[in-house]
Amino acid sequence: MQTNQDTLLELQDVTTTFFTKQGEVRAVDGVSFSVNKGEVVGLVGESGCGKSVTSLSIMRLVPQPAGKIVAGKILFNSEDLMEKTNEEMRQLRGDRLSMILQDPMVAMNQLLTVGTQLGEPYKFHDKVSGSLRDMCIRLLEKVKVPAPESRVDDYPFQFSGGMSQRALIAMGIANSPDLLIADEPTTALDVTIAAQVLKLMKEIQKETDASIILITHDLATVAQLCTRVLVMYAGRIVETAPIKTFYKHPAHPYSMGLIRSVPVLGRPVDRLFSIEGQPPSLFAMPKGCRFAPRCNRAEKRCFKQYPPETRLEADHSVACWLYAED
Amino acid sequence: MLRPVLRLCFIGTVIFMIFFIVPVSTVSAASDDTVRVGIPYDISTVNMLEIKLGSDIPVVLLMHQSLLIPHPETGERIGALAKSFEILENGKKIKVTLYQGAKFHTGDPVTAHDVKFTYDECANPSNGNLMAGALDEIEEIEVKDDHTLIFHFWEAYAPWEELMWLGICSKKYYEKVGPEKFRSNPVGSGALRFVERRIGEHVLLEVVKGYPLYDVEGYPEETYNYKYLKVITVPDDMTRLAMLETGELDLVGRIQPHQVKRLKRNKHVTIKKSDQVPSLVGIAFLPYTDPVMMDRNLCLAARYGINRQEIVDKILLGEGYPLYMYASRAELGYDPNVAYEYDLEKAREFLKKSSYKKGTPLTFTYTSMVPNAPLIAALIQQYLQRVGFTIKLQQLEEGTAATYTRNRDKRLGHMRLYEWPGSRDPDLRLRLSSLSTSDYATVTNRPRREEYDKLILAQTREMDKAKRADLIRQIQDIMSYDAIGAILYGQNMIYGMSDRVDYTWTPKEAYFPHLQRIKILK
Amino acid sequence: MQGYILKRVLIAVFTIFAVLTVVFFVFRLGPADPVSVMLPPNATPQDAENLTKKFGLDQPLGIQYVNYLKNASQGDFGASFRFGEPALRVVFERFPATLKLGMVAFTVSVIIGLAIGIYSAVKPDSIVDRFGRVTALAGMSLPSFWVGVMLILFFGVTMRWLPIAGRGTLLHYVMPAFCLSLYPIALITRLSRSSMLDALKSDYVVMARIKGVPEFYVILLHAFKNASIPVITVIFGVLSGLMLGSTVVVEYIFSWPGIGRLVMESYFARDYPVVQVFVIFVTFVVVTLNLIVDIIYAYIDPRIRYQ
Repeated sequence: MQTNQDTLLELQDVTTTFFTKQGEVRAVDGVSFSVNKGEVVGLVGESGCGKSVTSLSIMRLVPQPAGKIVAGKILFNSEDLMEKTNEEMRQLRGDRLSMILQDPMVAMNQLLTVGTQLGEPYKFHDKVSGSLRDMCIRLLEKVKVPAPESRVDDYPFQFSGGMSQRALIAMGIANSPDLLIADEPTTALDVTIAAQVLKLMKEIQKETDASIILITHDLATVAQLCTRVLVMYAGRIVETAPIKTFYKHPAHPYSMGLIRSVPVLGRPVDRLFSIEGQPPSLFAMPKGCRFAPRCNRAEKRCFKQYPPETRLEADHSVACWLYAED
Repeated sequence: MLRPVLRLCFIGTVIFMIFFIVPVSTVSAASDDTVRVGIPYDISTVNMLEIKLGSDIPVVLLMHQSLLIPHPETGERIGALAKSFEILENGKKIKVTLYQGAKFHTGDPVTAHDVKFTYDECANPSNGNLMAGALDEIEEIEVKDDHTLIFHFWEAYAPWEELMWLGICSKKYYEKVGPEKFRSNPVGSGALRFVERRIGEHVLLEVVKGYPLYDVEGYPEETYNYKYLKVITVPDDMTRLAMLETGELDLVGRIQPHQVKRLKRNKHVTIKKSDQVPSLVGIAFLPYTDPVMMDRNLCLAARYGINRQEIVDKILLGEGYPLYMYASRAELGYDPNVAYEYDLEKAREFLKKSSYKKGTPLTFTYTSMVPNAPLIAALIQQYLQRVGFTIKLQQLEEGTAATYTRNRDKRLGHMRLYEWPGSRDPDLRLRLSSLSTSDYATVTNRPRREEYDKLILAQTREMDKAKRADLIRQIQDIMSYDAIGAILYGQNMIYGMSDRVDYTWTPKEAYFPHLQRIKILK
Repeated sequence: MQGYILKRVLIAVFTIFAVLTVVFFVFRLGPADPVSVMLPPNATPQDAENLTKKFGLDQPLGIQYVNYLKNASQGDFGASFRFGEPALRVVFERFPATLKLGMVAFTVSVIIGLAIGIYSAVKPDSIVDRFGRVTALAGMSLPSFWVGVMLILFFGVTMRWLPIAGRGTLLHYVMPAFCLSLYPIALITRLSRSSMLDALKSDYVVMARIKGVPEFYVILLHAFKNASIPVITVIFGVLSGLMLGSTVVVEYIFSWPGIGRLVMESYFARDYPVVQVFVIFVTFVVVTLNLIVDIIYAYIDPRIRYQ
């Protein structure tokens, strides 16, 4: 994989391991992908597949002391984040590199005013010009929180779910980051509010031209926002494809399953499709392809060896024996 | 992981080494002009007129002088404020002549009026003085002139000397400042002057300049070579002795025998003993709980069945003596020939002859007031079980036991371990706890009750010392015949002092006597 | 808020009244009476009667109670049986000693407890954490009388570094304060460690780090503010304990003239007036501290404030 001028973030064989009493767990196992400038990438997968750990690895905020990034490189603007000191990372975080957590109710500190929490990205990156409070109000305006002048002094518990999520997004975009990771930003919200929030994110993306990694298990969200999709399964990327290709010609059996499990408007179904079985336990990973036990097209070798990554098109690659050139 | 551990060990070692290299005398030694005496309790009052407990006496008497005091070396009574006594009308009147020249700390002379005032106030029931009852013997005090007064007794009172220790207070000062001020800042004519009292901490006294202010015949009063005497309350035994070891205290009394060994290892501590202190530990049989306790054979079984010498050897570590009668060594009437030597066979025979039914449990009660009570109780239980008794031990809190005793409550059990702090004259005790008409008597229906009561009353009125001693001997005979319980032992007084002071206990005294006579050696 | 405080004050008054009533009767219906305890063994029945009358114990219990309340409402809490002085004065003469020792022990335990607790949570399994856990276990399980005796023997008698008992210099505080703060340190360490661990795992701490908030602010502003709510309950529990009960053993061993020892001695002497003043005072302090805790909660947690 060649780093070109447009590449903002590139992960090379990143492996994040948790050392627990029950044993080692590779939550992220040799993940490589890249994100271009201004690109919105969807990272899709079931819960527990390592999406969130991947994003925390990028932020270098894997929960300590159990978790550790044991291998790989994370290149951000061509600089390896793994080689940065803690202080350098802190300066990047909240400035060039930002993230939005999924549940605003727990992601906001209930004991501090929204304004205090909004102001922190400015305050700790020496970006305060004029009144910090005004900056926070402008930020709330930007994410369309009504009456920001009074709302800025409110506490999170006085905010509704949608408004909290907006405030959380505001914190993420305060310093117009180059990369924004949104970890299931709409999961905790009801459908109409979720749509509003997504619309907001789209607008902000256009305005700031930030790259976004949208982590979700909801393909509909991906379709609305993303240009490219990464499918993750049991700690590994199994398929990378542009959004249209992904919906029309999914390659990996897991991706196919995912798409078939989405109800489509106007197409009557008796019963919604679901992929049978459970994702493998992190403590007992199958030797071969991790999806093989649930895959209806699995062959013998699928159980023996992990499939190599096969490039189907320039921007579409898959890790599955079905496509392997042997 | 290993490196920080090693570093920690290193730091630990360094700190430890510093511990040992630093000279030992970081805590400053006691200042030279103060003598510190450690006591386990709080003085309940510094006011002579309101003394409630015997334990208040040693501190209060430092500030006051009395008519009679014990001679510091022999323990015999000698005149202090009183130059002479004259017994008139066969003991019904006693004429007292005071020394001239004695002065209160205010500078006023001590007169017969002050003596009368003090005795009247101490006898006044509203002051709650512990002597109020005993002073009822006095009908009136007549002041003849400034230095002569006559005590009028209702009847001749043989132990009249026992009433002469009261510390004389200044009437003039009392009337000037009122009872409130007097209570918090008393004035006397003693060797030491009151400075301050902090409840829970200490009482501080100052040596009066130029004391003694007059010459007393036969009493070697001297000038004291220190300035302050501090009586410090340290309730915990271990702490008190530790303070004696470090020199934070100069003098500590009532040391238990098992604590001596450790103190002896410290070359800065001197241990002294007195075997001439009133001390009597015994078991009372309580007939009102169960009439079987009146059985003479049962009582004798207990008396013969207890190995007193073993108690003295094992628990007192030899610091005491077996006692078989109702009077200790320091007391009038003590007879070393009375003995119930340990004899298990004899004890068993007496028990067989008694009305005690085998297997009936008898409750043995003890409180923490007697030193080492749990050990002693357990040992007694062993002895008595060996004889054939069934004994159940019961520990009571002191206040509860005191109330049960006063109310003759059956919950007190069949026997009780007690300690009599003692006095040198048995009269008060006899009349209170033995006279069958007394509210406090445990045995009220002796077979020879009338004879016994008559003897007690007679010895009170017998002014002839030899005749009185004979009466007391007869009383002791009846007591040893009756089932009143078993006396166990008398304990030596062990007291320790730092090597900067010297002090000797006055014989026959129960509480720290003559504390002012502590000498600073260095 | 004013209505709330008024309500709390009324509850406090009622609590004091209720506790006092219970103590008044339970104490007097117990097996021992003060006259028997106070009198020497050779006192006459006349003495006993006089003393009973003097203490006012000859009247029926109900009348004693009414009289006591009547006098107490006018600020007269009776005279101590033991000392003959007003009970109020006896208690408050001794209180400063307890207060001083308690404050020293309290400050030491809060500072050390929080420092070890927070540090252990931030760096789990570090040396400090391991050391802290062992110390906490020791502090929880070692009885203070044993610790006190060992301190006296080692630092007092063997090393001669510290004075054993009494007051006067700052050095006198070292041993009793240490002995007293051992348990609170353990308690605060354990609790602050566990609640800090919880707080540090939470999403708002991750979010704060995502925003690039420096670790110092993350720990103290975000994590500790949230973790402090349960810790404050314990801290104030410790404070009222230090002021009132847990000092008894330490005051006894180190001969510290505080109210813990006073109330113990007064109990054994059946000195009703002193114990009653103590009970009123204790209830008052506990109620006040609880009120303060509530106010602090409201100050820390806006959710309580806005209710």
